[in-house]
Order: sequence, then structure tokens, then C-alpha cells
Amino acid sequence: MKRHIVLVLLVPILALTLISCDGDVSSGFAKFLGNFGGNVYIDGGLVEANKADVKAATSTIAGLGIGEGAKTVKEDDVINDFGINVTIPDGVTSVMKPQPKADQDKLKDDLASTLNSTQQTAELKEELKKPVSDERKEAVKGTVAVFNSTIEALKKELGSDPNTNKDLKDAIDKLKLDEVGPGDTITEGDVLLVQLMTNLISNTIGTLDEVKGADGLGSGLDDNKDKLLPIINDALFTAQIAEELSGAAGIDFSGQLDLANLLSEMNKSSRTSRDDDDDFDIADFVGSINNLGPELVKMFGMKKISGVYRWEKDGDYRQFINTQQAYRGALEHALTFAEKGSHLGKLKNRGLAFDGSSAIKYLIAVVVTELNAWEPENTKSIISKTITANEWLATGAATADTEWVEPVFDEDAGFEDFGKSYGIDDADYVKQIFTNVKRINDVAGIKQLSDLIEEFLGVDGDFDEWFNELIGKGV
Amino acid sequence: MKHRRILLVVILLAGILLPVMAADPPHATKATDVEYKQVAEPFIGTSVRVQGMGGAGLGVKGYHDSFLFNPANLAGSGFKLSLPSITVTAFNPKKILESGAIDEFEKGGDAGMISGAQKLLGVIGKGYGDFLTTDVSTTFTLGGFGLSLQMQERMMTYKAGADLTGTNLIAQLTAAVTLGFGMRINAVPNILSIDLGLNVQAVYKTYLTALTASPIISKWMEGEGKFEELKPLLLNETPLVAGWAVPISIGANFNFPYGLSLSAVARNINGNYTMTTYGSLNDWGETLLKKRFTEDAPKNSAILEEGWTMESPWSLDFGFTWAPTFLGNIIKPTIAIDVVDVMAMGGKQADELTQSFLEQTRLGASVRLLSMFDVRYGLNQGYQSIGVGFDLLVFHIDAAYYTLNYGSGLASKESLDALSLRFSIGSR
Repeated sequence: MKRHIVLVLLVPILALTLISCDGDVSSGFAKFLGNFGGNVYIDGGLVEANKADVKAATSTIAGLGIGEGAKTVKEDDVINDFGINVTIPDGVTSVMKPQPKADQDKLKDDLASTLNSTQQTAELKEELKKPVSDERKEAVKGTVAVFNSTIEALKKELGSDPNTNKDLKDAIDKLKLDEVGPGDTITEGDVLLVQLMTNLISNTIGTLDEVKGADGLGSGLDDNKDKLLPIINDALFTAQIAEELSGAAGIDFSGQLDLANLLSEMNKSSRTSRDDDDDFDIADFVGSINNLGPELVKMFGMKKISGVYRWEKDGDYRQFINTQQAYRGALEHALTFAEKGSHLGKLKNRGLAFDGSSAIKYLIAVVVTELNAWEPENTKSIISKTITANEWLATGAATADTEWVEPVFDEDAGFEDFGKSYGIDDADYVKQIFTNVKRINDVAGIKQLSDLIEEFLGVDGDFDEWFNELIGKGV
Repeated sequence: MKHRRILLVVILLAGILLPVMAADPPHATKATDVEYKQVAEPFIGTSVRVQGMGGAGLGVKGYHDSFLFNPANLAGSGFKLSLPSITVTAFNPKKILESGAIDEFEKGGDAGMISGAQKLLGVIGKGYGDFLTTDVSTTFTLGGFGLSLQMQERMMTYKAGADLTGTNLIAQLTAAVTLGFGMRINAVPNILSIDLGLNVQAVYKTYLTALTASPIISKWMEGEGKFEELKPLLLNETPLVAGWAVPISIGANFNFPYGLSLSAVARNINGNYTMTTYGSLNDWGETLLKKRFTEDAPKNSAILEEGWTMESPWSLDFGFTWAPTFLGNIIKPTIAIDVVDVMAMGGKQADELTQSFLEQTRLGASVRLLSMFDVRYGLNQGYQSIGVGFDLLVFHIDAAYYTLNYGSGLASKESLDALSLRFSIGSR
């Protein structure tokens, strides 16, 4: 009978052994299980890993910017392909046209199918790193220039009074892309992003024109709210692609945080006086920094070259900035039209995946793009020097004894006067950024963060004091 | 302190049972909504034996649960009673072991528990998956009749992005009663016998609205860390979807000499569910049992949507089995090859047809030694599985390690490994 009891207990005994065994045994068991991983059909060549979706997507992307997808132009031509008259700037010889609706749908379907598969997404990202021909590079260069001109033209159409349709104008302005320089390498990813942005602005203009009332573009939106949903879908899909291309989509921000330590620190700080709240000690966040730092540096596209963390080529920096601009611009575009159409509660499952880290990704994009808008060369230098001076950020080798090293900036960088010299003196503009963070957080974040932002921005909040300090009017 | 630890783990791990998205209906709750695709899968319960054999076993007889996979297996099955059978399945066991989560739990304390839970949830990948299932069943067969009572708790996952907080967890509870009958026709004595069988299953399925970590943490903070504050959310504010179906399975075995048999099963006929979305568990209780589980006033309408259909298609499966008996009880090999849902291969040609055939094929082999030990191996869509079983009189223990495909086609390589343990008393 005793033998029977032992046998009855075998399952829980085995289970307990499994979960309580030391690291070596766990590791050995995991290794044993690993012998049965993989797929014998695929590993044996009997079946090829599914690449149909990624092949379809890359084939479609390879056709962008050439043939019927592009248009030959010359300086001072006036074109209306984006839905609004634009004069071709100097030096532009080719422009990518917005795709017809059917082609847009095919591109989206191909990409969406690919992104449903982790394996194929990785394959797609590799494909999108490939450089394109000079012909397509010219088309991208020309399109970026015309795209930015289109935005300026659209802003004018939305009203000469700065306060008329201000929210729309601000959101549309953020779609602008960095111009392509002569030495820049253009990749398939750049072509795709520019095409998606081109489609987005063209569809936006088309919808604004379709619903406009007597007051011209920007009016009539209240009566046509459902017609704004396709713009939101386009924008969130574009943001999703930008997020994938930037590398941010692959970072598990929440998973990398040392939650145990962070919660412990939160408990400690709640027990101490508010005066201590400003103290920042790396030791308290070593785990989180070591996990996230290297991921972020990788996302920035920086490498250690001759002892300095920097972008290997100017084009690498431009690509990093462009994906951040596209991500931020498309996301703000979606939020603005969602607000206009009372669709803020419908942002889930429309492309971009919202989660607890979405607000963080947005804030990174805001900081990076605002710095870049201030002075690109300085921004490159500031980021490079900061990481080089604090290499543990990139290596994940911070310890409890690690100290923050103030980077030495060039005197003429003027970073200390960033607020004043950049000219962020529009409180509403900055408030809108916080409002966007709240709206993003509302989709899938912690409610208390939204409440805090609301309080911060409210009549009795600390926003004004904080903003005055930012722009150098410190109290 | 102990309570606090438990609470922290509840928040980060078991707290996933508390959907808190009730504040802004209408919700996406149907199988046609991206997060809920898996809820429409036909219910069959977890068989450690079948999973160890790569999911094959349409024609494998002699086990108490054989008729659940093919009602024709009831023919001549005799008396069997399994009372009860408990199966626990953990998904991603390899990643869990490698994640260090267990080490963190062993460290104990708040930090260890939080870190362990974080690492445990961190193994959940992008796309569809499962986290944990528990099956409890009782089965009885006699004189060609079979009756099975099954209950399964299944925690499903869907993750659109990479971030841990974006993981949607859907808790599903399914109860099923299956009544079957099988009979044998000796068509050509000693050459061919035909088993025919029919199962009628009554299934009641419930699942809670998907939730992510963010709203859980949010509500926990609102409640200042008190578990009681979360209770109304679980019982009163979270929509619950529940409904029934009466699927029918028809099966046949064509038995030849030397233990060879061919099987055909049409399963999940009439498998569509009639579903109702209730405002909460309280509303479900009040509507069906005339009983609310807490005193809280209703937050949502008692019924958000009534009588909608959740489609669950039928399928046609074929199987080949070789289970010779001439070796007696010392060694008893079994080889099973099943081709499931053959209609999925329709309209395909050449390489596409070959690939589809491999996707639909399950290969399994087992060897039974001394009527006591089972060793199993299989290939499920190309993914390997292994299993062992041990019988001693009325006690039975089975274990299987296997991989399931969650992508569209085996070539998508979207798969999860799983480790199942089963314990039962009664007939094997």
C-alpha cells in the first residue's frame, strides 16, 4: 500500500522537484526539453518556413518610387497629386505619387500579414535595411521635399489666422520629414515610410476636402465624424510601421524594468519627506537601467566607434530621426482626428499596439524630435557625448557605485539655454504634448498616470511653474 | 507580510483573473474580435496520452477517454471508470525554466515574488498562446455506452506588441457532458469489422473580458493595495460571456486483421454556440441562478447582448492505426497516423497540397510494456512530442511534453511548447 501512496504522490513530487530544484537542474531540464524543440519538417527541408507574406510585402515595396509609382517633375512645376497645389522646389526631379486606394490596401494587407508573424517581421526588417537604387533615392528625396511643401500649403489652406484650426495645423506640421542629404543612404524602409506618409497626407487632404463646409478646409468635421476613422486607421498603421522600423516595437519596456526595486523605492519615498523626492540615485534603478539602456542605445542606432558612441554615418542618424518623426507625427495625427471625431475610445486594434509603454515611446520620440528640430548637429553631439561619458548606459554595466558623469558639451551648443534658444515659448504647444501622453495612456495605461497629468495641467496644477523654468523664466 | 506577498503576486500573476475594462462598454468580446479568436475552438479537453503521441489517436482504443476522440471506439469497450482525472498543463515550460522566474520565487519576499511574476509573464510572446490549463473529468463506459463529465479552466493569451503590459489574458471555463454510443458490425468474420459510434455533447462555455496589467495595477492602486477592493471588479463590473452548444460527433472504425484499422470522424457538427454577454458575473448569477454573489449594485446592464452566435466549424478527420495484439501483454506497440480537418486541403495543388497535408497530419507511436508502462512519441505538424505513462492497478500517471502551433500553418513557426501532467484513479 505504501508503494501505491508513493505512486499517487509522484505527480506532485515531480512537480515540486521541478519547481524547487536549483538553477543547474532547472537549466539541465530546460536543455533536455530543448532537444525536442524546432520543427523537423522545416529543419529537414521538407517544408520551407512561411515567407509568402514577407515576399509579397517586399515585392510590393520594391515597386514603390519607380515606374507608375513615381512622377518626373521639374522646378516650378505645379502638381496636385497630393490633393493640393504644390510648386516643385529647386532640385527635385522625381516624386512618389500617393497610391490608388486598391494599391494602398494591398500594401497594408501585405504588411499586416507579415507583422502577424514574429519570424516574418524579423525577415521584413532585414529586407527594409537594404539600400535602394539612385533612381528611387531621387524619388524619395524629391518626395520628402514636396511632402513638406504640401504640409505648408495645407496649413495655409486651413486658415491664415494662426488660431484657426490650430490643433489640426500643429498635428499636420509634425508630419514633416527631414530632408535627404546628398550622402545619405536610402533604404527600402525609407521608401516604405515615405510612401505611407504620402498616402496619409493625401488621404487626409481628400477627406478634409470631401467633408468641408462653407468655411473651407477644416470645417464640417463635426458633421462627418465617421469619415475621420479611415484617417485614424491610416495614421495608426503608419505609426505601427514607424515603430517597427525604429526598433521600439521590439522593446519590452515594462518587462525590462526592475519592478521589485522600483516598487520598493516607491514605498521608501512615500515614507520620506517630499524634500527627498528629487534625489536621484542610480543605485536605486540599476536593474532597470542595465536592462533598458542597451536596448535604447540599440534603438537609437548608435555604435561604439574609436571609443565614442555615435552614428556611423549621417544617414543612420537621419533614419533614426525620420522613424521617430513619422512615429510621433502619425500618432499625433491619429490623436488629433480621434479627438475631432470623438473616437478617442476607439484607438485599440487599429494598427499600433497600445500598452503601458506607449506613452514612454511617444515621449522619447517627442524629446528626440524636438531636440532635432532645435539643432540636429548639436543633438547628435549631445546624445553621443552623454552616452560616451556614461558608457554603462550602453553596456548595461551600471553598479550601485556608478555615478552620473556630466558630459562636456561644446560652448556653442547652448544646451543649457535650450528652452530659450529653441523658442518653445508656447505653453499651449507643450500642454498639448502632455495631453497627448494622457490620451495615449488612456488607451492602455495606468489610470493614475492620466489623473496625475490631468491634475498637473489643471488650473491648480504645477504646469505653469514647470513651464517657466523650462523656458528660462524660472520663478 | 505573508498576505502582502500573496497580494503582490495576485496583482502581477493571478490578478489576471480580474478584468477591469468594464467602465467603457461596448466591449470587443466575440471570437471575431482579434483578442478572442481562440474562444471559438471546439472543446475536447486535454489528453496527455494523445498529446504525447503528437495529437494522433483516432483509432486507439482501450483507454477511458478514447471515445471522446472517436465515438466508434466505444464499440466493445466494456466497463471503464475514471474517477477522477486531473490534468494540469503549463505552457512555455522551457522559457519559464530559463527565465529565472522559479529562482526568484524561491528567494521569496516581496522582491522575489514580484520579480518572479514579472519574469513568468515575460515569457508570453507576441500573438496567440496559452498560459495554463486545468482539466478535471470523470468518465464511465459500459456496454457500448459512454458518459463523460469534463470541466476545463483555460487561461489564454493574446499579445499585439512586445511590452509585458500589453498582454491580454482571457480566462475561460468550460463544462461539458458527453454521451456516446458505439456498436460493432462483423461485416466479414475475421477479416473486417466495422465500429460505428455517435457522441452528443452538451457544452457550456464562459469567458471573461480580456484584461491587461495596466488596469489591474490601476485598480489595485485605487484600492490602496487591498484585495477586497478588487472583488467588486471581478464579480460586478467585468462583462462575462457565456453560452452553449450541442455538438455531435460521428465516427467509424474499419478493423482489419493484425491490428490494422482505418478511422473516420466527423466532429463538431452543429458546433456553433449561442452566446450571451452579461454585464458581470453577478448579472450572470442573477439571470440564471437568481442569485448575486456580492451586494454591489449592478454597474452594467444585466445583459449586454443576448443570443448571438459564435461560429465553430465542423471538421472531418481520418486515421490509420496499427495496434497488434499478437505480442500479448509483454510489449504492445501502437502506431497512429491521423489526418485532421481534411477539408482544409481542398483546392490545393502541388507543393501547397503537400504542405497542407503535413500541416493536417499527426503521427504518433507508443509502446506499452508489461501492461504497466507507456512510452510515447509523436510529430504534430512537425513538432516533436514525448510522453510517458505509468499504471499501477487503479492509479495512473501520465506526462507529456509537446509543442502546439498557434500560427497560420506550420511554416509560420508560431508555436508554444507545453508540459502536461495527469493523475487519475480508476480505469486507464
